[in-house]
Amino acid sequence: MHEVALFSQVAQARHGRLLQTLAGVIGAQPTQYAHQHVLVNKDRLVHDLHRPVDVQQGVSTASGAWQARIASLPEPGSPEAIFSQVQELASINNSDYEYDKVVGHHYIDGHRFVQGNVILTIYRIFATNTPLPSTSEILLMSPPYSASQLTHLDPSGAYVVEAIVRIENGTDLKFADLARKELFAFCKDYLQGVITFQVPDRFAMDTRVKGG
Amino acid sequence: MSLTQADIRSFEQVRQRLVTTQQSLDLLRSKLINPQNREELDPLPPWPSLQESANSFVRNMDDLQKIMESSQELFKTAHAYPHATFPGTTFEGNLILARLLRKRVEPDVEAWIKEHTEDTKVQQWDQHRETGLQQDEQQRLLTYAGEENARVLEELVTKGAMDFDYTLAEYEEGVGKVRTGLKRKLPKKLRNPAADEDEDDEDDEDEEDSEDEDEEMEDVMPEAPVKLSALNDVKGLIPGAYAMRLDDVLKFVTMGARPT
Repeated sequence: MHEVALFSQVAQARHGRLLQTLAGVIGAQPTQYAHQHVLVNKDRLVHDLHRPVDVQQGVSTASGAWQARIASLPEPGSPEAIFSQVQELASINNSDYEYDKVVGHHYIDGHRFVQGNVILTIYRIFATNTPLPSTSEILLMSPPYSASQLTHLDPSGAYVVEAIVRIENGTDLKFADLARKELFAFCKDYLQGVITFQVPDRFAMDTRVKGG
Repeated sequence: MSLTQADIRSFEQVRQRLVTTQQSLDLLRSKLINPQNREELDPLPPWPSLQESANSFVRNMDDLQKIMESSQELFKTAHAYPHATFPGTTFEGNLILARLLRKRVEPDVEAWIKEHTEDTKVQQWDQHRETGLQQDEQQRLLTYAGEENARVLEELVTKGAMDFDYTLAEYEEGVGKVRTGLKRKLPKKLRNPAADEDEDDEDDEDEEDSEDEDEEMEDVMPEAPVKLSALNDVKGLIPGAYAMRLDDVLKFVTMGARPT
């Protein structure tokens, strides 16, 4: 499937108020969203293995099974939004990924709103302060890290805002267009003044592994 | 060196702004000197219309200033030069040419500019830019406004404008049908004069209501979306730090690339 996406950032000081404003504007409270992400290099492409977790000071637990997300480099010729092809697997066999090299390990903690077809996620990222294991086996099998093993990625504490519309068949121009329209209507008109969205450099979301 | 499209556009914008500014100024002027204001009432037109004209003029000036500022370099260095085919030798041609190419302002305008840009005046303006009005002028305004407000309000109250709970239209339609948005039944406090005459006022309020006048209102707190979590205690925050660039953040979550 394809995804049309827009992004923004919000300072930590504004985060609480923003959530309340969005809850009022959208008419529903957000849902918690906390996932552990392990990025592996499989066939020169980065696969994002993630699962829902509950991070605690002591022992963290996983609250779901591992899923995989394989995104392609966002397509060119789309200056107004990020448009990329994404494949998602609702569950994986650990054995498929065990021996693959780990390139990243982080935790996403945030909230999610849904309005129509638009999924709005507001989250902050935690990196680990220990070196990455070489293969993913141990990470896939162990429980998630505890809060003491994590550190803020962004020292300012700013949150990332992500607005996404998914399309089953993105090659059909009609649906791609509809998705774009709905995303813009939500992000640029409905949330005007609340959040100002931007289109990042598509190469910032390049999943191709460089080098030999 | 010829003008680019952008330059031409800037000039055009300034020209349009000047035209609208001139028009709004003319409008304001005509309102003030127009003899059609009846002399018995007031030599001035109603103040809302004056206010509107003044505001639109200020807005125009503001826009004009913005446009001038944005193309400062262009306007400072642009130089008008007549085309070879312009009839500069005829009497009329010469007149027009002189008027168009003139750079020096008229003497009384020059004097006015000089007066208002001398250092002491500028300093005064800078000092009072925040407040606008002087302290004593502000005080006078507030006192006047307070008295005027009290007078208007008193008149309304004595004429009974505050006695009615519903509008005339609502009384005609029937008070029982009014959508108040209230979810609780309130005790009937004041009997409104109009209700006595209105047959349709079959109240949805209990006449024998013996509840307390001041009901306790329940405070309902919306569920706080930001739950206390262990992640709030994670180290690594630097107060006052700039946010990481969005592209760098995305690079990290997509590829694990640490920002350099």
